[in-house]
Amino acid sequence: MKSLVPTLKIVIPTFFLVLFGSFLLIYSAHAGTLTNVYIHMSRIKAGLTGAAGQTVEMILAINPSSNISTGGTIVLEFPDAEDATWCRTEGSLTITATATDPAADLSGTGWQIDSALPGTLTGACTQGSGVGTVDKFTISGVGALTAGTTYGVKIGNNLGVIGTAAAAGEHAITVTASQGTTSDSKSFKIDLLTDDAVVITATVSDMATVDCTISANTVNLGTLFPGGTYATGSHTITTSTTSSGYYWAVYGTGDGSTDAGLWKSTATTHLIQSGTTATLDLTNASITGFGMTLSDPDTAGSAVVTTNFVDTTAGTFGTIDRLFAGAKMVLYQNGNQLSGESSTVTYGAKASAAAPAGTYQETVYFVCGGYY
Amino acid sequence: MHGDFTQTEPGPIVSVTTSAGSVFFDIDIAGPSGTTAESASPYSISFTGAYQLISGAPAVTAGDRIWLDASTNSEGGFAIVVRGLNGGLYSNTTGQTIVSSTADLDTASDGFGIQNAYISQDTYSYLGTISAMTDYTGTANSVGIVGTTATKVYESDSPVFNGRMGLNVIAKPGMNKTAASDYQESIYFVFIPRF
Repeated sequence: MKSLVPTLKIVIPTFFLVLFGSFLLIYSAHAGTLTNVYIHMSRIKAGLTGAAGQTVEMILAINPSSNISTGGTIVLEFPDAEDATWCRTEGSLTITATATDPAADLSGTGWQIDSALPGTLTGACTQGSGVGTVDKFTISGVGALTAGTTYGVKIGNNLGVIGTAAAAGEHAITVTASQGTTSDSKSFKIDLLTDDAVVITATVSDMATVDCTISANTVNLGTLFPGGTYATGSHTITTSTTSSGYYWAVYGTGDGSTDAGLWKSTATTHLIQSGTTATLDLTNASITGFGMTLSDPDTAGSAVVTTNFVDTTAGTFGTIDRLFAGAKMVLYQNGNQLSGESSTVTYGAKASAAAPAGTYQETVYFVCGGYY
Repeated sequence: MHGDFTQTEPGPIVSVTTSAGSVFFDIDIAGPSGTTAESASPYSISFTGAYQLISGAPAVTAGDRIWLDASTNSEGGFAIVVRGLNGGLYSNTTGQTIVSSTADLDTASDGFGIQNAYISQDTYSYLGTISAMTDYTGTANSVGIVGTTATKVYESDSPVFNGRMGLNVIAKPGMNKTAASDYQESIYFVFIPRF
């Protein structure tokens, strides 16, 4: 018996030590860490109230390290000093199982959602009040979870309203998935910003354009007397507002082969040609022909009537040529045109003594464009 | 020497501090050379003045970029996602939207989007690298969508320190867009660390 006492002194404590250790081992096997977790919030601005325009919702992805039996819960806990900010209004939350979140998943890893969170899910948010209680989102009715599988769930507003903490910066969140004595959790941080939005503003302007109008498409010069004085007729051309300027050019038709001018196409044919000189002084008794002038549409402005077509000398007209290749610029402006402006086009013609009686006609084409 | 056990002097002390991770994210607005520029909110970029948009004209890249700072020790790195309020540049005056899409604005008749222009981060063996998603890696006037649903723009699969990213903002109004000075979009950025 005496020899048994030392043995018992060792065996009995060892028995209880092993028993206690086994208890710890068994108990700790049920308290694990979530292998993977992320929270994809819809907004990360601090101080969102959950009101219109400040709605917050989130997708939670968790991968437990333990198998968790059905009937469990998932709880999100927020910092104690941020009571009633994450849960702005207590009440039910809308819980939607989510099988994927391509915007946040990391493909081929435990941070990729494998499966929608199983169960008959309900949710609620509760507010902390003072030291020791915190804002919580609780998802109940969670089905059985398998270790190594990443589950997704979307948490949205219902009677309960989600917000964000008032202060920008890091905020610690603890997520716990549990059922009975089995519990996996992880604490991590998210970052809230003073402002999470970039506002893009744009001014869209109309494409550059210019509107050009001609007041009349026919002008009657009246009767020309062979060897007599010159006759005139006129109309106006108008240019709309432009951003960088405009131009007007003209060309005639004449006899179709020789020159521009008033053409009598019936026998005996005859051309009162515009001529080869730049201008015609029809006040000169020896000069005949056909030409035109334009008035300055803005005497003090930047519109310019080209030199040969100014109307400052009575009886002197600029000559025109045939076809597009012979087009001559008669009016232009380099620069912004703030309002529409008009110029009077005056045609002058004088027939020689040899001009046969009859009807004469010229078609003058006007070309208007903008500088862009 | 008596007994069954002996004892040596204590070995070296090894200590470690654990924390709930660290995350940092920031937005800045600056020109193309603003790789280190910092700016305060509100954040805005304007297509006005020399950068004004003209209906039917070629695409325009805004003079300023959106710069993002990101650092985290999260094991799974991070994702940065964007979402637009309107899904494009919307005008209250005209009721028209220059719709955002993933497109080459040199060939598309109309559009709006963002394009990765810059990525940098600290490089150590235990750190990851940032990559832009394919839709946002275009050149010239190819852009990625800023839609009304969240889309991933940048990602890292490992911790990142001193990450810096720059985004061009590019827009092209079609010939059917009526002139107005109030086309606008709010782009929301969300930083998602993965622990």
